[in-house]
Amino acid sequence: MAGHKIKLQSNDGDIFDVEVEIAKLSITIKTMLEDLSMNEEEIIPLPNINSAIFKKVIQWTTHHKDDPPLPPEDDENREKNTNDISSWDQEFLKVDQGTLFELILAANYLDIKGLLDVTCTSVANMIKGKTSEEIRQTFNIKNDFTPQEEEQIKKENEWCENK
Amino acid sequence: MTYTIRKQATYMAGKVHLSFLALPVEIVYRILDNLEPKTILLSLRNVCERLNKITDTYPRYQTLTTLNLEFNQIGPLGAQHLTDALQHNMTLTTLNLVVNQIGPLGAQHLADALQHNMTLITLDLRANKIGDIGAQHLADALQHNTTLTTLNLGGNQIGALGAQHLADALQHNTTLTTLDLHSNRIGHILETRLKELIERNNERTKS
Repeated sequence: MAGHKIKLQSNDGDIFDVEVEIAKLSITIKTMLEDLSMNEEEIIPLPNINSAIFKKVIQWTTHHKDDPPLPPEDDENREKNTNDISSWDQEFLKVDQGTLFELILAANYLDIKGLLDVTCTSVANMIKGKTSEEIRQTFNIKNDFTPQEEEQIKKENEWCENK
Repeated sequence: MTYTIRKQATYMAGKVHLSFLALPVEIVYRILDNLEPKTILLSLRNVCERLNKITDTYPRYQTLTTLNLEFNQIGPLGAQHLTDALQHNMTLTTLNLVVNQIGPLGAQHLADALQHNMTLITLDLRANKIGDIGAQHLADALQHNTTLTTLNLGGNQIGALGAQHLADALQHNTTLTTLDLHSNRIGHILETRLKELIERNNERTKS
């Protein structure tokens, strides 16, 4: 079966030949292939993913194809013990924020847990140790509190700072 | 030709950055899974309305019962953020703020929260330099609060004035059963008086 390929189509029309074993790291694609028993020659459309992002996804899954399977989700204890990202993944995730968020959405849609984990961890690491204002700057978030709420926060902050 | 135009359009669309706030709530929860409660409370609160709403509904935050922030240099401003968070949190029962430079102002913010908070049972404020003024603010809050049973104010530069306010508050408060004031300078008479009042609360709780 090794080297056996299937065809996947991004939402901008490009068709990708991907090894079945790599494509199946996506639970969504795996389910399509097994449950819907799709014909091997059929092109599988991926309406939520563009070519640029899908290329990144294939790059990631190809590198991680021999990873041991991740333990199943545990809703009771979702808190992660480690925020370490391997050096290969760190290099892989040196992308602009828009791409990072698109990768998250793609990993979510394709149901690739490893990729979803590492991309979410990467965003979490951008949050750590920052003040609220620094977070606004990092993610270009507008402060949208009502003037009253804002005045309240500002007033109290000034008081603290002038002390 | 059509193909080229479509590619172009996608490229242009790619320029419009997908933003952090556009991520679905479930994804933001996943990102929060990687953060300590401290970061969620002190960094993500007060960024914008949407993030406040998301943290309010985040399961781990909703079920948080103990928050240990020992030695975190939270300061008065951090205490204010905590106050805001405490007013929305309905589950936190233990808050440990030992050695955090909270000062009288931070104590005032916490006191504001304590007036309305109905869940906090244990508050540890050891070594925070809250002084007489901080003690007075907390005393005011104790007159209204009916859930806090343990308050540790050890090593806070509290003198007779602050202790007097605490004693006055305990005339009205019947729920506080442990008040630790070690390493302050409150004098023997007030110390005895406070012990009596706390003992009275303990007797009431037993009966």
